[in-house]
Amino acid sequence: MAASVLANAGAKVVALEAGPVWDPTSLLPDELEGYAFGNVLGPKWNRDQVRWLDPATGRLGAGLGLNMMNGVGGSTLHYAAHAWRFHEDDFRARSNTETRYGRGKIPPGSTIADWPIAYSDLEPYYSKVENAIGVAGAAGVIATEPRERAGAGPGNPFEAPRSDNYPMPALRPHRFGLLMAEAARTLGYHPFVGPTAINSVPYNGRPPTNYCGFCLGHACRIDAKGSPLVTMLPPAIWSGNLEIVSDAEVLNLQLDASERRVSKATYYHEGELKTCRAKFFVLAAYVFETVRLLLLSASATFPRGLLNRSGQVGRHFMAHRFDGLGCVFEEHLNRFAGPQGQRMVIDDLNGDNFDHSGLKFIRGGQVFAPNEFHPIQDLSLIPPGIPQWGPGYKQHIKRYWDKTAILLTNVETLPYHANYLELDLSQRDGWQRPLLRARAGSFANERRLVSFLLEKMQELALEAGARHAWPLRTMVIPSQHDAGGTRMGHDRSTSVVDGEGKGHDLDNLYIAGPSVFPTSSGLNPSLTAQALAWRTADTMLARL
Amino acid sequence: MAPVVDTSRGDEMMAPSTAMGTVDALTADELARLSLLADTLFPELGGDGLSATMAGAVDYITSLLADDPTMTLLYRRGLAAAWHGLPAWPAAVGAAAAAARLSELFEEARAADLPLGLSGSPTASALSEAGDLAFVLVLWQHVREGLYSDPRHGGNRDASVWQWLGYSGPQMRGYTDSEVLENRLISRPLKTANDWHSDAARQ
Repeated sequence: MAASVLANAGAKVVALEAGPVWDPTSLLPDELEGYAFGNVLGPKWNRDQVRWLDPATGRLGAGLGLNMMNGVGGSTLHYAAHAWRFHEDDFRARSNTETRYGRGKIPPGSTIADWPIAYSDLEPYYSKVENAIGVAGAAGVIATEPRERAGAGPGNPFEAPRSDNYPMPALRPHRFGLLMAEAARTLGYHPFVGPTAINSVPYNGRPPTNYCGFCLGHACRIDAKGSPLVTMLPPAIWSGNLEIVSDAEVLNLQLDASERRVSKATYYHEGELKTCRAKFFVLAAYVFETVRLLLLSASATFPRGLLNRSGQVGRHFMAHRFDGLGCVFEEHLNRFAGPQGQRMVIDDLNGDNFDHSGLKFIRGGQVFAPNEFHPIQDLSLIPPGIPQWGPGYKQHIKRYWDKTAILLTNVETLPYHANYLELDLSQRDGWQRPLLRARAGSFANERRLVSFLLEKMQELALEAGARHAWPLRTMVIPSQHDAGGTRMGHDRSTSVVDGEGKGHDLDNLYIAGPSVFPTSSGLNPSLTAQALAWRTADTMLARL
Repeated sequence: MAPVVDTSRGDEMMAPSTAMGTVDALTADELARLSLLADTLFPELGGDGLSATMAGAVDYITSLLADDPTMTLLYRRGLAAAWHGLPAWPAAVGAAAAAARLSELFEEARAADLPLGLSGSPTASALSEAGDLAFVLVLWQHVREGLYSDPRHGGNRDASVWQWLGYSGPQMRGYTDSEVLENRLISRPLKTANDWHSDAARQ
């Protein structure tokens, strides 16, 4: 995103991408090829996996449940394309919590912090990104309308005020979503179809989705999904200002003699070590490789890694949890017939959208009824009490195939002192450079929050007519929405970059991506990451 | 040399180490045991002609193992451990005995509380640390993949399981509003993943 903005504005940009240029049409609509089975992640990512150490047990696991994609366009090539603006409150989670509930409400050990910018600083960039990549949704709160009308529209009544409507109408609802919406309204919630960067109508020369149902974990073969690969990058490349060097693995960043500026990046490409010199550098390698590259680029002035004088690089790591319920109905749902982006959502239980007085946790989670469910996953979801294999299993799936669904929550996880990323000296890549390890555990706040949400979701599922509704076993660190590691802040003793994404202590190194988030919100991060990147690029342009 | 991860299976499998050398494919006896266990997990019912073996799930597994010595060894050890207490010759094992043994194995795996990946099967670390315990979970995951995945992977022979379910496969021209909202399973001419190119050409 940053590269596109800079190049489209006339700057000369070189983008070094570790992965290849993928041809989406070469990827087949095949469930086994999708992300849940770990495919199509890119050879470098599969090779240099981050390992997870659970602080509670001291056990070292293998790779996290990662679904990052190495390639030009990154994970937007195969993401579900949920495109959310964070709540206003998400930018002031700490101070708002303290004001509303008292300082004692902050969980012990949490390093939750306010953002150094407000939602209003980012609002124009949310609009820019939504229009550039194409986002389909229904507005809930448009700033020009009286607040008392909030909730009158089909969108999210809890959303931060928008200056304009979405570029495209929301995707059509799906059958499971409609069942959940009706139940939600009965229980007093405000359901709506979530915003997504998938075309609902023709947009900027790209067709609308045909609801083929191979979206999450799959590349879009008709370019209906709003990845920068098919939106922002082409004009930037055609301008002649952007050169993309793919299959180029950056090994380190080196400083000039003053040790105040990055002078070059050393990278491996086509069998050779090469260098790239520039006036400014933007590090946008996703949370893990961004942190890793900083830690591996130590110098005399930064013996613990670039921007790490304060020891903050790698700190405040967060990863959304995805707890949920399996549900079995007595009616066909056709959940294979459409993208996950069609999710029906309630935001009532997210952030501080509900009163936490008397509750022993803070924050919340988005609750949603997603679409897109294929046979292997569908037929692996069997309620407790039903035979999990054998004749009883087979009889069950014959009757309930296509009648099974999952109700999920995107749980906001707080940053904690104990959760951080570090170099793992016992695991090295082909260059003998240490890989990364995530120390990440679950804390009481999140466990209580999850318990609360699952109880509410159980009510919802049963109200919707589910014959069975049971909690799913989930990974504590599924690692689909990672954040932190180079968080932004005013205080350089507790942050790595400033509010514009510029690293403290270096004049020309910026960081883009969710690693700069101080908090994770209970909403999908990609639109916010892209908006921040655009804002960072504008800041850089002002300095060119 | 650092381990290279098989990119076709993601984070849950490790590709062969160069130090391992060649590993013999499963023997006929091992395949017979594999088939028996797979057919206990997913038996033929009422003459439907769709046990795991009949549906091609075992073929799917053998194709997975063909280029994966590490997984082959897991299966070899797992099959040997699973056979503990059973008659050596698979044909002599009754359905009830096989089912009882699988129940024991699943209970042992459950008690071990192994870390599972996104697809529900044990992570690579679980396999390396708890090998035999994890085997039954890996086996069942692979059998399900072999039953329900696209036929291009060697299982779901002739899309027979999809047809038994009433699933029409990937329909790359999409679905209409009325189709998806009606309370009935969408029925279309059967398609597989390899059909998408011709479907796309017609759009």
